[in-house]
Amino acid sequence: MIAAFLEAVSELALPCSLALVVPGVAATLAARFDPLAVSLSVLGGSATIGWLRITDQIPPRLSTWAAVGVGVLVVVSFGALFGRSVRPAQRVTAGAVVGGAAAAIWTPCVGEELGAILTDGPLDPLAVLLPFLAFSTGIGLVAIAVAFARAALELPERVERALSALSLGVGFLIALLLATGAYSEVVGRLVIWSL
Amino acid sequence: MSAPRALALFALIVVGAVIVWVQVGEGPFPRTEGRPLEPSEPTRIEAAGLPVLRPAPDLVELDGWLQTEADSLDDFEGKVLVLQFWTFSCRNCKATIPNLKEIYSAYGRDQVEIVGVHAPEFSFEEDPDAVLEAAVDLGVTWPVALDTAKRNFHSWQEGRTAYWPRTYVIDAVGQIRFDHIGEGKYEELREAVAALVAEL
Repeated sequence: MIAAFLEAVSELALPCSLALVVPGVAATLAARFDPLAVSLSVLGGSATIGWLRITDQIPPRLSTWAAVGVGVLVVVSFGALFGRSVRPAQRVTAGAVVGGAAAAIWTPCVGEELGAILTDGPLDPLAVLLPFLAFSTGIGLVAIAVAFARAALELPERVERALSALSLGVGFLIALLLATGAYSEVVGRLVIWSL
Repeated sequence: MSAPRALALFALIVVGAVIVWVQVGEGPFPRTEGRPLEPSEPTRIEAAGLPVLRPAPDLVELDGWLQTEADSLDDFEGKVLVLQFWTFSCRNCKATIPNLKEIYSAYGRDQVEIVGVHAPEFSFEEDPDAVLEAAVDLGVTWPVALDTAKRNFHSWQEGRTAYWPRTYVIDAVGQIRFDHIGEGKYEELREAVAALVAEL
């Protein structure tokens, strides 16, 4: 499990991980209140949907209408994340929705540890649950770090507003990528840039 | 600074240190290419007892072949075939190439053939010239089947989420005897090929 966690951490900066990292960070930045709970709920959502995908318990790809529906849910969730009058449970739910949506469009880099998890996943879903959770935690580490930073720093109101606007923009972008299926093209351009 | 904020700052430093350690340094588990197993490490494949997983489907509606005169998997019948779905910008696919080269050089072409089925993930990988150029750069000398529309990439992976790389070993009568997603299991792959060559 430690190896799976560390493999994920080693892949944090790769384009293939951005589908999980960017929404997690954006949701955590958007969460003016309870950022740590939100980062963990994003992690929970992405680990759950990711596990269901890798064990073949849900279809491999979203249908067009499902993608549009999830895109709308993501925008609503980002709205809920920085709302002042939103209850903690709603904030956590919104984080889980963002994480789940991210996992739905994620195409992983398949290293040794994840490779073993993906190979065994459909055959023994329960056996890969903890290793995949460890992998997901490694990917979620940046968002958790951002949550700690948010808790440790007292940000001026202007910065808080800017963060909210920025994260809402990212939320719209994710929703747009989900609804249009353009995610692969965006990652492809990042891959060309990184080569 | 209040205690909760100090604790959060400390946790942030710890989390950051872990990320930097793994990203910048080798970390405790350095990446390996074709890592030989330690003598005490168990292998999961009994050399003489590779299970028959399923018959290998044919490659259909391909967009061409590179580096071969073949135009069907039938042309490799009677040999042990290592078939890998790959795409040239995929770092995990590239990491498996040294092990494939080792296998390719260890056997004659009458015994073992490798077919790399190129299924592009991104649009810039769809150009056959770019695939050929990448194959040359990466030292891929075995036949490459162009599955640009990814029909075979998806149909071989049985309607599941499909991944790169995915490596199969097919015996001389067309049965899949080894199947692995991603990097790793290099020794097991070599052992599977050796066991099937011994059956020829």
